[in-house]
Amino acid sequence: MNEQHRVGPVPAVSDEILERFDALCPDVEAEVVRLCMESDAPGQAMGPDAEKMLQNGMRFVSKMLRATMRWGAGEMIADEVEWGRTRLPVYGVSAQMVFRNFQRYEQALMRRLTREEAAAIGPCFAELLKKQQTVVEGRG
Amino acid sequence: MSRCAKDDISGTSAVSPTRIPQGSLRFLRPDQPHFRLAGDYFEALLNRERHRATDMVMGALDNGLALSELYLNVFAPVQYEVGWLWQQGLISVGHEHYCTGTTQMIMAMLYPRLFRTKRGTRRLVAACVSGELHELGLRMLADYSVLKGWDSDFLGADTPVDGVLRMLEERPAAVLAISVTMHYHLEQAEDLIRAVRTSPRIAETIILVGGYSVRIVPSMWQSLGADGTADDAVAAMALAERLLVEREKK
Repeated sequence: MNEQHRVGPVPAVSDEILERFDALCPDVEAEVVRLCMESDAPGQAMGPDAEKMLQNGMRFVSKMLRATMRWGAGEMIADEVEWGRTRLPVYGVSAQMVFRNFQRYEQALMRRLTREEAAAIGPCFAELLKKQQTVVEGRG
Repeated sequence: MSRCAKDDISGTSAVSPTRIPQGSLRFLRPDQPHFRLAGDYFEALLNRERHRATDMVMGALDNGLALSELYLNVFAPVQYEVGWLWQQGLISVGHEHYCTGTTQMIMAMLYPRLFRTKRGTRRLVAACVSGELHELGLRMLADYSVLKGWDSDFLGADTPVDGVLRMLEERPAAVLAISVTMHYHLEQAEDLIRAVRTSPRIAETIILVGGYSVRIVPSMWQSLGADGTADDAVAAMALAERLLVEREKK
């Protein structure tokens, strides 16, 4: 583990909440992609396959978040954000777009969760957004 | 040659299909053993010179390079570097696969040399969990175990739990080595370890886990229920030997 992987605590969440997360992911991912397509004109930088790439990307985000919450391992968030910092520009995806999509993801998910579920998952998103913010600001 | 020094790798791009900007490399460092050979090999892969890559490896071995040094100081850092170039978008995924395929091809050509070592009685089974496709590091461990006098069964990528259990039950091993690269495959590793622990005939197998995803989280091997982890093949085999000795003392 190196300095890039240092993050705040991300508690593991229960199997029940993970199941709920799994069930909600398809709708959440679809909402993020729709909002991004409507607002960010991603095709300009990502090309004609932008929507498909965003769908794949959101699926990956869900799997990454699930692993992080399953193991209570914030290092995974830091690792994936760092990976995205170098890899995603290759696909024409800016750090700002990633940040906006993480925000959309959080809002779409939280809206569908109970207060208890949201409280359990919240720290993971707080770390995710904080870490991506450092990339946006060029500190990552 | 020293064309692969970190600051002048871009000088090779006259013959390379890809320009490698200065400062793009992470894993090939001049202070590492066999840096020049690693640099030459890296350059040959980037230039898609499979024959040259093969010749330089065979030549180095003929001149006394140990197989273990080749694996640890040439293949491993070069493959890490290839992956890093892909991540930065400096080579295509096809090019990355070409490089990995070439290294795997050369590793296969080395088996007659590898199997000259005396076959040991201790057995290691090596498997990537279900869904996991990154197998090269684990293959290096399996090969290195042979160099250390072990017998090994390399099951490769994407091996389902039942497949691993069956191989262990048919021919028990002292050590099961499991590799996980992607974070979202860690649960499959947990499933596999639990299945081994609850299978009476093989429950005592020493289980080591490794791979990128395990390395990222220092306590992950414990969370998974394994007996230990290691960052590379040398450390893994040293740990395996130590755990076996400790077990025999009990």
